[in-house]
Amino acid sequence: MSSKIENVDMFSSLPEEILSHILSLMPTKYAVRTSILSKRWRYSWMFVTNFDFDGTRTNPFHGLDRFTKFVDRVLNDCKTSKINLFRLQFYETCVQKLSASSWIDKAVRLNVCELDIRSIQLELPLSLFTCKTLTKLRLERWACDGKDWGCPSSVNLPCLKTLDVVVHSDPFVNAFKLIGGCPMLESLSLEVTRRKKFAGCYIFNIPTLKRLKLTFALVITSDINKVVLRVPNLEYLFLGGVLCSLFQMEDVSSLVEVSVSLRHIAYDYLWVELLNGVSGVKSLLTQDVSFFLIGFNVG
Amino acid sequence: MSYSKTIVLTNYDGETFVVDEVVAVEPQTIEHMIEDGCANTSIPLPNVTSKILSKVIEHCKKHVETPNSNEKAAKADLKSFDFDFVKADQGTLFDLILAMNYLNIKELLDLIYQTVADMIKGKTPEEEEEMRRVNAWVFSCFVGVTCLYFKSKKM
Repeated sequence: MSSKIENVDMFSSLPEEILSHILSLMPTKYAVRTSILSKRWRYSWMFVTNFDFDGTRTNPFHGLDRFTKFVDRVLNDCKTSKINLFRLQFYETCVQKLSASSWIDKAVRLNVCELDIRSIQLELPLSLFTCKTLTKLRLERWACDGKDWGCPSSVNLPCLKTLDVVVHSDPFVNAFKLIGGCPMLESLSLEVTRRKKFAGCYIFNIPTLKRLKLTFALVITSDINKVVLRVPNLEYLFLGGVLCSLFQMEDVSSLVEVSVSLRHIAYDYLWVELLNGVSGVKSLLTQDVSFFLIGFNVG
Repeated sequence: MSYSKTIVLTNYDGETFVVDEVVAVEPQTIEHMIEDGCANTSIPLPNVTSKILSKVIEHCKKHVETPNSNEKAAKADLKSFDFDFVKADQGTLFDLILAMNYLNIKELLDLIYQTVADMIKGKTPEEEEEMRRVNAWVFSCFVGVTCLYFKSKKM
């Protein structure tokens, strides 16, 4: 009897808005696939509010046009007036620069709230940097050439609360430009994947910031740079990768929790300075650093 | 001051369920009814069958009873309970969605939506093959195009 019940298709009789909500919870590829189930399902996918395009698994030989055509067509046919989430990831072999830029532009015009872009080649439309509806942004370029995506000098993202950026060498090229244009920023994650040369002094002067994650993944220099934290509302601080910066805590009066997961510490005194700076916090969690501290008196 | 600690729910079949108020206010719809003073005798829930209502009450009870702590064990227990809870046939899930929408329990609704989404995504290979056959623009793969090309050549 139970198998009989399972064979009856009940989902088709769900109200349209529930159905589109459910279809928003899966990669767009699957949502669009349902269009051929029956007449009932033909247009349901067009009302999804989340778009999740993953071109990284597309075969470069015959996926060159297929992925592009698919995304083009989906964005052209969709009837959504407000995009909740737009996620896009692909390799450069699959997609032309201009296509990706026009897709992001379309998402911005459809009042996107959350944008998540990961690719090798990335050219971002100017409209993205003045998007009024954006609350969450993640940008990552998997660069083989060490170059970064470009950021215009004027950025205005009035609603952006969460920013997650990966840059390759110099955060001043775009990360700090972006941060400067976000008056509501509450959560920032900045990852610098390869720091080749001395990269100056990073000053985080963000009064609204509550969470900060800083990661230096790979440092190809013995130069030390300075990181100044002027973040009176910061509650949570995470440091990862390589410790190669001298931290100067100018204002971290609200800091409660510090989490450290370091692979390597360039000089012992950096660690001492860091611990001195966060001595007032309630919770300090350290991972992977303990072995550096053997025979090393902190305090 | 008399203050009733239990709430009576009457469902679609006319059956009554007596539940603690803390459990009953989990669904926002019922909470609002109690706030508005509509819950003096019993709350009618004409859209919900007894099978579904008892399932919903079971879920609310579990979530109310589990201490709201960061303890890993409690969280894992709740997770496994939720996992078992949504292991149901399409018919039950369908009724649950409608009931949840009416009762307005967001947490449970999200869980059920995700379950249904995973079910739709995880169609059997035969069904996917059928989809591929019918809808060329979605699945227009290299092989398909080549086949068409050779077919047209033969003709």
